[in-house]
Amino acid sequence: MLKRFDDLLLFISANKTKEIIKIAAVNVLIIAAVVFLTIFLKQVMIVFAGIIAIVIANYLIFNNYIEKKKAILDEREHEFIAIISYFQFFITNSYNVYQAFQSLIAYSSPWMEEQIQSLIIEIDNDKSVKPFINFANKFKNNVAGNVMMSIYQMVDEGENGLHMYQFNSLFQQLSKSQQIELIDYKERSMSAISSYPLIGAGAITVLLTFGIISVMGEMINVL
Amino acid sequence: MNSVLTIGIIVSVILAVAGFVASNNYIVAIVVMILSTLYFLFIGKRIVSKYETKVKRFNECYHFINTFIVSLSIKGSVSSAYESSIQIMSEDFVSSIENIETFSQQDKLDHINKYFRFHVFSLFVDLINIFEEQGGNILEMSHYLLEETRLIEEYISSSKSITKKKMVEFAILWLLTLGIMVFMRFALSQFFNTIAKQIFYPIGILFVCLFCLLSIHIAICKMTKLQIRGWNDAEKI
Repeated sequence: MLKRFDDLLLFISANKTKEIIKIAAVNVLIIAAVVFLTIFLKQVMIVFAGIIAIVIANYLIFNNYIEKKKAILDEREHEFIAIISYFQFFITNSYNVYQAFQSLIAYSSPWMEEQIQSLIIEIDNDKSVKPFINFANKFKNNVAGNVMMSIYQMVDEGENGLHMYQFNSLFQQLSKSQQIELIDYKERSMSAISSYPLIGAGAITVLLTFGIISVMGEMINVL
Repeated sequence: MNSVLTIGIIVSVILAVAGFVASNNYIVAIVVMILSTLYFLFIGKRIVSKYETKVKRFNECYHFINTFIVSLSIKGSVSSAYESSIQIMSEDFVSSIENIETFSQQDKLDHINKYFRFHVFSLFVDLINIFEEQGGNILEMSHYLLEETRLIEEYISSSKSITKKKMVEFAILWLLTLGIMVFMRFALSQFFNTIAKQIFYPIGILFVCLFCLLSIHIAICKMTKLQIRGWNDAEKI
């Protein structure tokens, strides 16, 4: 569990000490507020509200790390599509696959540059499909593998019309699948907001239940 | 008046009235009214305005790229394609390029790149640079770029329709929830008189109203979130 947390922080380039201090500070602040309000208002309900607040605050903090990781992975997927677009510019302008990959470096992020450099080095040492598969494995979209296989076929069998056609249709499939994923994400994200009114209704029910219990408690005390 | 502000005022009044009727406490109504009005005035309006600018800019970017490439393929000259493209643009765009008449073609596109900020536009600028340096068939070279831009445009329009549908659902559900909260007061009037005097009840109602406001904020953030590469929502427009 701790190892996974460390890996997550490392992946998003966050400072472990800073993050632990931040989490501890949020929890201490909530606990201090609960203790103060419980002593001041003498209501047990505040303790329950405090527990809920701690759970929600910690969930939001940890979810934020996961969201950051997802954003980095998504950005890499987007960049893959972008570099393939550049790749097409060069291939259309009669570059061979190797030259096209070398030219891509100028248009890449540091992470992508590193991956392309290692792909070029691997291609130099290994003429099989393996370097292309290794490169595709860095992306979660399965179509990336097909795109890289199609590029390998261009190396192996020459950049003929059939391979260009295959490559084009795979690229369109890749862009389309990413667009569908984005629309699905939007749909899921917007569907989640319907749960808030239900939480509100639940809170009203809890409030009334607590009211009934306290009134009954007073009646029993009177009797 | 701005539509966000009009909706904001209506929501603030509904929340304040529901809070007052449910708790019989003026302070709850005043706190809810002030906080929700301030929210819509200073935060909600700004978030929606940024979103509208982003959608409008992308729309312009889409038309600019399409017109430029079609003109370039017909006329074969980057400067003529540029002239044709700026003719169809909005006043905002035209005012942003007022002082760049003397710039070189490359600098003009770089300047426009700062206005659009989308990654597809950077891709377009690079494509034009490669075309100027090496030549080639611009329609073939821009095939992926045009496809990518069209898919983003489709994503924006799909997002708009999803958002509209879900926001209506969200509003109806909150109206029902607030309706239940108000109805309880009249349905359990005897019981209400007893619990309304206890301190936790108005505080609880205040929290429900503030939670409603928080959920509206989350809904607005989700509604206005569009993942278009290159555009940073935190950046000043």
